[in-house]
Amino acid sequence: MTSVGGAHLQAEQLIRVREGDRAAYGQVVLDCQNRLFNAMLRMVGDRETARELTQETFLRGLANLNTFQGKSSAYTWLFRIGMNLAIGQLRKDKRRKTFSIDATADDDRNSQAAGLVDRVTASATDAVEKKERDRKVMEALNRVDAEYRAILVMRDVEGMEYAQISEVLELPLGTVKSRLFRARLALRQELMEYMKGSA
Amino acid sequence: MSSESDNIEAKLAAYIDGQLPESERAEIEKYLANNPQQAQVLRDLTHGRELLAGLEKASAPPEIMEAMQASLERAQLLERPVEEEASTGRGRWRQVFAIAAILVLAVGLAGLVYWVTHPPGIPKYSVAEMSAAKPITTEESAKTTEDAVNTGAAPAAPSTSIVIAAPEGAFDGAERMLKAGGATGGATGGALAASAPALAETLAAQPPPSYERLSLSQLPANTPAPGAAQTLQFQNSPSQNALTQNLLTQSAPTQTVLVTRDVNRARAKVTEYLASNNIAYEFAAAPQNGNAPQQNVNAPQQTAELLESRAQRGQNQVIIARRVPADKVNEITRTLQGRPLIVSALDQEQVAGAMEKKAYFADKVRDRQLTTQSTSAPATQEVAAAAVGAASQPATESTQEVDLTIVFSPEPATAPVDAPVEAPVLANEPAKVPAIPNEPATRPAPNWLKTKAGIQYEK
Repeated sequence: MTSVGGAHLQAEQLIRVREGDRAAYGQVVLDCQNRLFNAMLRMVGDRETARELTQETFLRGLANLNTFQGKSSAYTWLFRIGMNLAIGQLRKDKRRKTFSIDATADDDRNSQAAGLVDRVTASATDAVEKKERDRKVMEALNRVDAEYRAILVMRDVEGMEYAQISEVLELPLGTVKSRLFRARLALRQELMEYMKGSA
Repeated sequence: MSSESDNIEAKLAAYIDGQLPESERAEIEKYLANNPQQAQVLRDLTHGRELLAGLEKASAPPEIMEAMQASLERAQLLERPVEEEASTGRGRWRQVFAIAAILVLAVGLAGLVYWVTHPPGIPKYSVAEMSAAKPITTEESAKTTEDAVNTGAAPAAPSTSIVIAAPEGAFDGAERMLKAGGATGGATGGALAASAPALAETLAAQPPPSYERLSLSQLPANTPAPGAAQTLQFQNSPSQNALTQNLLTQSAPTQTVLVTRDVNRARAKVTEYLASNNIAYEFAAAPQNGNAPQQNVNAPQQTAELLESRAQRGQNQVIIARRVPADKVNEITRTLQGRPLIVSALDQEQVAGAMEKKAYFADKVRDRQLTTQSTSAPATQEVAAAAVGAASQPATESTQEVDLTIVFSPEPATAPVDAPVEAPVLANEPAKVPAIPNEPATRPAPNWLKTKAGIQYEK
């Protein structure tokens, strides 16, 4: 979750970019890319698509800087762009049935040190179980409608505040909460078999 | 869903997230204590929330930052607004792909249209390429005469050989090739063109030839002296190429190749003319394939029944008319042209277009004065006919006599028979009203008969 100070800093950076300081946008990208990419990855379930969406989000943000008014954080502003792109992508690709869990493997490869620590500190069984659990969760998430998936990612994956979600989705706060509850019910339905098995 | 339900759902969502005020939280827990099923649902929802939160956090690949950096640097180098650069960044490749796709579609569509309008194997224009035909020069003619003398044959008379090609496509159903000229004494054996069926077999084993348009640069540059041998050749189809090749590779005197649907009738008409003009003739055997012609068979050995049998078997029939006065060649040719020639399933517009182009080249030939005194290279039937007429000018050639080999080639079995008749009238002949045999007299003449080439058709 973006800290208040960080959000304020990013908003200032975006204003600087709008005024001609192109280098400032690079810093915004650096600050936001991991969270935005992770959210895109959980939305679409595919690293390559998530990378494209993230990149597109930054490019569109750059192209539409004049619409940024500084009232929200840069991350929220970019997240709205990214979520709209992701939902649009999911609507176009409703037939997608497979789901990639390459993220876990790639992260392990990209972070050898972390992986080494994991291998030392966690038992092999735990690692396998976690990987299997993540796969099940991602499969279930992939079967949830795009709108529900977006709010689950924002709230439960990214830990965004209700107000931020409301700002991204442009929905009243109460509607965000009720939709979040229904989205969780939908996910529970998809996770039912896994939950019964793990109980 | 009612607003009350929305409120309850909103409270439950906040309960799971631990964001309810204490009073409301106690109220829900009191309710759940009396409803274990609902309590289990909330426990499941909480578990799902934890599972999502427990997913590994993926790090962004470096390509994202690199792409953004490149985009920003490009904008700086090009001194373009960064927004413009961003807007063209990712979409550039899409635009390139879109343009490429449009081009591919356009080319494909053009190819399809061309394929439809120019079916394979039926080039639209029928004027032959002249480069492949090596004109027989005066020197070659002299050598031919010398060879004839050495082999005991009669001295060769000055010959004029003309190969006339009908429009391409017409040859699919009806091959017609006229070659008229001076004879080389009794050299009649083996001087036969291959029949269309035999040619089809021969050509089937050969690679398809390349088609080239006739150009003036391909016309014979030298102009033979009057009376000297010359060959004009219009190759415009595989079968026609082979026919021409056969004619050229054999020391044929004068030949006429005719494809007709009624061999016997055509033969009868020709022989009637020959007899009425006291012209001796004999029957000969046509080659059974496109390669080696058979030895001649004298006329007495060819009975009418045998000829009929040959016609029924789809074989050629050949008549060799001896010592035909040159001025009679034109008449015999005209007699032949009165026979129905089969035009296969060819678009009439294609025929008309071919005729127009042939007329165009004929004009060009005239411009170069290549058609005067039968010493030039006629490019159309008209011009060819003019050459024939010139060759039979009384002042110079009235005393000449030629041997005329006439090949009646049955229509290929696969050729359609419902096509109009093509029977050109040579130049200087009064135009006659086009008519189609076996067709109602009231049927209007097709447009392609009224071509700018000035070629008229008669029954």
